[in-house]
Amino acid sequence: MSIASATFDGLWNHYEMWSAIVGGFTFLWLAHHSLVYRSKDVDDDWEDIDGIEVGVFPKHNDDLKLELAWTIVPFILIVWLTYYSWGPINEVWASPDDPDSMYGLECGTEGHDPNKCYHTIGITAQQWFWSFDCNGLDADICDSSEYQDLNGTMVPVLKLKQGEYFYANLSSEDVTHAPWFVKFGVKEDAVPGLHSALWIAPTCETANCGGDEGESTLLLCTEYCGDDHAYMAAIVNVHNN
Amino acid sequence: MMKRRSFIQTFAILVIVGLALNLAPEADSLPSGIGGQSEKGCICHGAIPDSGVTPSITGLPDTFTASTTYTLTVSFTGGPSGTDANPMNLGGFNLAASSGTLEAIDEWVRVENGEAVHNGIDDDANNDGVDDAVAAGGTPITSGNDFTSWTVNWTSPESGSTTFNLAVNSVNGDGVASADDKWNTMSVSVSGPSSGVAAEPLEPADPFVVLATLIIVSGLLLGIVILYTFYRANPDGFSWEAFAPWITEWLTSTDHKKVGTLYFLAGFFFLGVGGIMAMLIRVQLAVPGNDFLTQDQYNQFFTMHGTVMIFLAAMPLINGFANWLIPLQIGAADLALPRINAMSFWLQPVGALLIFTGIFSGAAADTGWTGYAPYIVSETAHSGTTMWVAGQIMLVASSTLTGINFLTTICAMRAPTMGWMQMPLFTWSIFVANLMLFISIPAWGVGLIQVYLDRTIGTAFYHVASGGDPLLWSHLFWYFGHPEVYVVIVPAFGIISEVIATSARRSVFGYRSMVYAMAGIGIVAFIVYGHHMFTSGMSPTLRFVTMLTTMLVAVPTGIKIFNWLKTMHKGSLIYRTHTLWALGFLVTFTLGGISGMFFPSLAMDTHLHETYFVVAHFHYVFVGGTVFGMFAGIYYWFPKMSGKMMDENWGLLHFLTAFISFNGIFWPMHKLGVMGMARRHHTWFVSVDEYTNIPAEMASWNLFISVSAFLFFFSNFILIGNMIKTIVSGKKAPADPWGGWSFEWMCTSPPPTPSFDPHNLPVLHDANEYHEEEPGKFAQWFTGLMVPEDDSEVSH
Repeated sequence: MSIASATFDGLWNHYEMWSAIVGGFTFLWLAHHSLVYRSKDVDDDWEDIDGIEVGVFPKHNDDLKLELAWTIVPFILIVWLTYYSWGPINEVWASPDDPDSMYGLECGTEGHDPNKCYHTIGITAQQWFWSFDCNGLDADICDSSEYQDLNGTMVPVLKLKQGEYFYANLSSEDVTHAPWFVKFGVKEDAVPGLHSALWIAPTCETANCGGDEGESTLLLCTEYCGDDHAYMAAIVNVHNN
Repeated sequence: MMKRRSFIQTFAILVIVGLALNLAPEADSLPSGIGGQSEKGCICHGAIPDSGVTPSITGLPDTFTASTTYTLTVSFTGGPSGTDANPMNLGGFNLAASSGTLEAIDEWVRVENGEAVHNGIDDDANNDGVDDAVAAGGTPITSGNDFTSWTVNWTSPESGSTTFNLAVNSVNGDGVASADDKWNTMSVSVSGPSSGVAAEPLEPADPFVVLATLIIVSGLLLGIVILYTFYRANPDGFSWEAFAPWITEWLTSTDHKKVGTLYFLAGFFFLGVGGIMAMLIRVQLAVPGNDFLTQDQYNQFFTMHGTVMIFLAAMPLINGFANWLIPLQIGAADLALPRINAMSFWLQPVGALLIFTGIFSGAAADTGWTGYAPYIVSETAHSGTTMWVAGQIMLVASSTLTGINFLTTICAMRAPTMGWMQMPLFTWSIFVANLMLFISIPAWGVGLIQVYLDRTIGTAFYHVASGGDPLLWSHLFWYFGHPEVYVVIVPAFGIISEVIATSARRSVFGYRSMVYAMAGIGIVAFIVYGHHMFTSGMSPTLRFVTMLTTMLVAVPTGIKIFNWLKTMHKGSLIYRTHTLWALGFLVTFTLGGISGMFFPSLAMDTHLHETYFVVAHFHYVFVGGTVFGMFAGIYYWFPKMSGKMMDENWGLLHFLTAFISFNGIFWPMHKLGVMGMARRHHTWFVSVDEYTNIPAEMASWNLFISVSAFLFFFSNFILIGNMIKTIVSGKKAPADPWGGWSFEWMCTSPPPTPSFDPHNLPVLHDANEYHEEEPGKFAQWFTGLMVPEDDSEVSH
């Protein structure tokens, strides 16, 4: 399922597979026991398997091996899922000063690799607008000068070039907000008085990236911020022009 | 014959429900909402009207004459217009008449598609504050948007009534669209002489009025039930003089059973209130761009829905079970601190009144149940937030007292023959839940008091400009909030353990591992809360640690699910309504548990956080887990509480309709969340030519969810009906209708007061060959901490 980033898709598909296995195993077991072990008795004349009697603590019904089995096997599975989820963390929290990260160093700084470097931009939130600062980057890499109508509200348009990496410094002028780049599958809180940042790797769904127009998707606010929270949006346009 | 008829009835109901669920998604939702220029003013001036702008229409007659021309003056006052020294770009208008003809009088107005609008140009295109024509050396240009008042002619129709919709913009004249520009709208109707019988158009219902009406109706119904219960208590000796003592006995009782019943009444009442709010929310979200609720109302409703459901419905219902059952299950005459118990309860309705104060004034808390800082202390948060916080502080006090009471009771008042490892699993679940609550809730209490002081006397715990720290609230809230999730689910685990074992006629499989798993969940609950803050900007190290610990929750939860399944192995499963709910719980809680495993995977959480995937997950846990567990408990213990057997056919109908419609509500939400539907949003966006978001074909699911929500809401009235029917005309219940083993089944149904004779407490026997008479090392250590009964300090 291609929904957000390739990272998200990879994790999603893996988790979906294990969900199906665990869920299928559990539900088959449940269905089997629900049907096979139905009481054959009539009304209140039931068969007491363990001789349950009121006022008597029932005899133990346990099996240490089985109980250990469904302690250890799920534990191994979650260790595996933790390990599997570990790798992509580097994409979310790469250090901007680490030349070996997937984003490299900032373009234009000393020692940067022209084939693997990132641009720094700024995202400022306030009730209930987004402001983008392209930090003087060429307009074909980052542009935030346009506005567009979104269901009756004029919202800013952030144009980013496909294949480039962006490190967005987040700030808020009032309360906590959170930009969610819906199709890139990333979000981070912009907390007043606290520095936070977000890695953005703009990607396109179509081979030609929407042609001359580029591909547009939404940026929504995902930390509740008051009256117009739902309409605090922006349009993110990705192009390869 | 009866069985065949019952089968046909059940089959017919299933067909109807199936048809309803299948037909619902076929309906089309509006692709782009209903917003338009005439309703929202100029499209560039924000999404909500501003009451500071006052539109007006003068020149309208009280009753118009047929085919007569009237000159109308359209104007506005207020807003930023006119604050600029240069009278440029002051504002605009849009006037629509439902009948008759509008006509422009001068060049400042034009008529388009039958609607009159100002005829304007931007005479300061470069935004330098100077008229462009003046800057070029010419005379100022005057255009329609340089005015705040315009005139138009309206020629009336032959008959009927006409409704005028007027939208006006008041702008600051800087030529740039911003939040400073405001707009508002008004509507007025005029009748013609020959239309005396014409019906006035209905005003849209105010959702607050809808809510208030439904709450009042619910309150009246509750009152009727109470009065009817009074009548039924002694129909032959009915006398109004006896009512005051009767009701006083209920209101001042310290008997654990009566306080438990009060908890149930309060819990069910608020479950209904929270449900009504959920229905209003679902009407709003049924189609994109809907304006049934304003943003302002919507924000209040989802805040109150969460608050009510968790603190005023789930918690009281759990306390209802605990009050009723803990003394009965451990063989005690009552709780250890009966008056504290009554006080715990009565703090709740008082706290609820405080929380609802804002609703009554139309400015309820709009912070979300999480009340994140710094929004909660900001000026934009509603004034009702202060009373919401005050009410929550009372609930904290209530929960703390409850925790003390149950922990003391379970530790000190078990029947002498009942060891720790012989307690029924429901009692264990209440012990673990209250221990968690007792340890976690003080942190939240501290946070609430800080917020209250910030909002009232101007302290600065959370005011960023004064050095406050917004993340402190998140830590304090979630240190409590995550264990709170387990506080409401662990008692459901206890109920399910009892119900499945009894229904399968087996001892619960792995009693000890069940206890250790609950204790494990109780411990892990305190070290996982950081997963609610993965995107908060907190330390990556802390985020990483909580990613690891959160994964661990699956282990004890998995143990419980597998133990329940193994309990059924080689059993003799007797299908009653409580059995169905327990099996339904296993399905929905397992699904909720599986979806919960997606969040600790951090790179996935950065997408799923604050989406409908989260909404789906926690409703599968809260409703599919806690509520379904409580439904199982109600059908299981209602005969014990009321002394009457519930109707199993009604129970089956309740289970089928509620289980199907519940999944109809929350299963599609997973997909909607992944596709791009954010939670706490007044509306949602479908993909159009200009941008992509939720695919248009997925949008029908929202309508489907809303239809399912109404089915679920009304299906629960079957339970209420069943309870009333049972009390009125149910078959008398025996002491142990299901064949349970614990002490509550030794009592009569309903149990006497006191529940057990303090001088003749019940004796628990043990079916196991080896019964450890002496307490173990842990029990010895724990007993050593307690004050001995013959201690001289307490004996005098």
